Amino acid sequence: MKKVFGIALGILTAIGGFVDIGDLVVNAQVGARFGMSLGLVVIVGIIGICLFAEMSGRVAACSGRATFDLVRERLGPRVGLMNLIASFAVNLLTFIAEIGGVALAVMLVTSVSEVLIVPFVGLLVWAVLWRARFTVMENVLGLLGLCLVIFTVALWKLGPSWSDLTSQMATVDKPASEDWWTYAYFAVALFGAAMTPYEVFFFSSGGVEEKWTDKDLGTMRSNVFIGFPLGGVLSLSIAACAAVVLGPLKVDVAALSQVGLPVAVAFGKIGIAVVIVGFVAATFGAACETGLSAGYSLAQYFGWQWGKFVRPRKAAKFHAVLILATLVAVAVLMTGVDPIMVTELSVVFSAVALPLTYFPILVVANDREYMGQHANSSVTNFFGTIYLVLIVIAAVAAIPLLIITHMGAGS
Amino acid sequence: MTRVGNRLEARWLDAALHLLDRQVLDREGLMICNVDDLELAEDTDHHLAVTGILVGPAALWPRLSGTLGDALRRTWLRLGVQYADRDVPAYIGLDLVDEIGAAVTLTVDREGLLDKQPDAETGEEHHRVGQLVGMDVRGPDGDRPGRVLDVRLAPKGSRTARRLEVTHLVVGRSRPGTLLGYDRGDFNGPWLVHRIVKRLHRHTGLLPITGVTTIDWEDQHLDADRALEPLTGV
Repeated sequence: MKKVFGIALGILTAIGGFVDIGDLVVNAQVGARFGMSLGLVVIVGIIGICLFAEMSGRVAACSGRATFDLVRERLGPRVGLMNLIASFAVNLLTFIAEIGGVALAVMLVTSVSEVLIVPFVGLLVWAVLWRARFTVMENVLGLLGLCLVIFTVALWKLGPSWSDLTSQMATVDKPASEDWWTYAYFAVALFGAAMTPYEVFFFSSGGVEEKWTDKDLGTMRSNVFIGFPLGGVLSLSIAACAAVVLGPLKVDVAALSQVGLPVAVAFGKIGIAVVIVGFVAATFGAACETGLSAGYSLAQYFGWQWGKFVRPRKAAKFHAVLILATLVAVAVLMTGVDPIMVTELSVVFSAVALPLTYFPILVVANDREYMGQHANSSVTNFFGTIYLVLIVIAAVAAIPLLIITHMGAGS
Repeated sequence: MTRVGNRLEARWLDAALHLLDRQVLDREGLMICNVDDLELAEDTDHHLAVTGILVGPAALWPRLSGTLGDALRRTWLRLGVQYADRDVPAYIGLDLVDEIGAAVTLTVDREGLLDKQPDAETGEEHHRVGQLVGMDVRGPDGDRPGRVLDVRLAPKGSRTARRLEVTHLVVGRSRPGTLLGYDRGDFNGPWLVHRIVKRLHRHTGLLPITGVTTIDWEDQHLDADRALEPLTGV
């Protein structure tokens, strides 16, 4: 019974924890501008993150080594260092975006400028990382994140033409007002939002710390293969809601309030209340995860003690990195930079950094010395190779597309 | 703990593939550092053996080689010109190592563990594995089989007098991917990556250390009197 509860809890928190500020913003933007015509990309991204997370979780369980540990081991110190710099930078960017996202969500309730809220959010994130019983926080935030299910309910209540939505999804086409470059740019952004590298750092490092073994593979797989796709359904619902409500109004989503607008249309005040709780939980949970991931990558490269369960005095350098990262994030946001813009950049650069960690994990997941009978099957490798190619294409295309389309404004 | 056995009990291990850049854990499983480089002792008969683990920026930056490594090392020194032993790495003796597996586990606690690398004993000279890896290999009759990619070691001696003797050098063209292990390990695929790495390293072979006539540590090259043997894996 306890085990069933554990698995159910894992799945529920995986659903609630799947969506972060990147998914919220990009899915709403794409839904409003492109309808569901990029829905297939979201599905491709969700399958990708399932594949990646399952491999890294399996590697963590079988070898006892976390992602960035293996990056240095398999790529050497030199390439590993370049990798570290790139991954750390992207992680920090995502961390800034998540803290900004929490501030924006709180702003929706308090109407106080987000710049004033940011320092308190930073302090709270740091306090959680420093003091909290992290498992409790993780579960509470994951469960509260389930409030975002209201997007799925709202979509049903709005009663769209389902055949329209599905036919948009099934065909590779775009609205006549948009060009193919912008279409490609948002495809890369959606892919980056679904497959953010920090999710994997966090997932595999957690596995190492909880000392997963072969016996935990079943639980890990149920979290990944049930939790993540259901989380992905939330992403698709956000896009579909935006397509139904914001699309006809030609709204260009540039604020978090616009992301929640369809729910307000469907359910009024109550809807808004639920959606804001969901926003805060999702972004706050992701802020903790990205902050930790920034620490994980640096500590694992240099061999320092790390861990969310280890007391700060036993992992002093790791916690020093967390403090510095939080200070940098707060400082950047205090300049008044638009968190939505930071989010857009972070998902695109996530796509750029993705191959750097995906490739070493794909290789180690095949090393029978580490993995024994749990090495990748030929089916996993078939999909693993397809995704390797996809991920490299997205990474190479991301920055040129960003420039050509002026961050999606149109070329 | 993990399915990788203790390589100290195996016949051989490869320094770069199995030991360098691994996490070092203390008796309690707390993390200490990574294996940044390995101390290589050369006795009067020019026998080479790994005698200790080197740790810290003074060991890591030179391994990055090239402009980046130089720049990082010089900056590191400049940030502490007043320290006499800034360029001397910290050290863990092999006698403290319990197990070399997916990680390196020690027999002691981490508090106060790392001290600076001791001076070489009389008659011995200290080098680093990081210096040997990357060295240009000159074969007989102007043959150029490539560079040293890895160093094969054989554990010898009791725990207190443990040494990892250099038995072979893995030599091949300097191309990416040798640390991935496809040339020596037991892999399931993926087919595409496997084929590409195998093809890039098709000229890689083993050079017994007895076939090395001279090592020029200054000019970073060594002379061999024989051709490469085929590479054997796990």
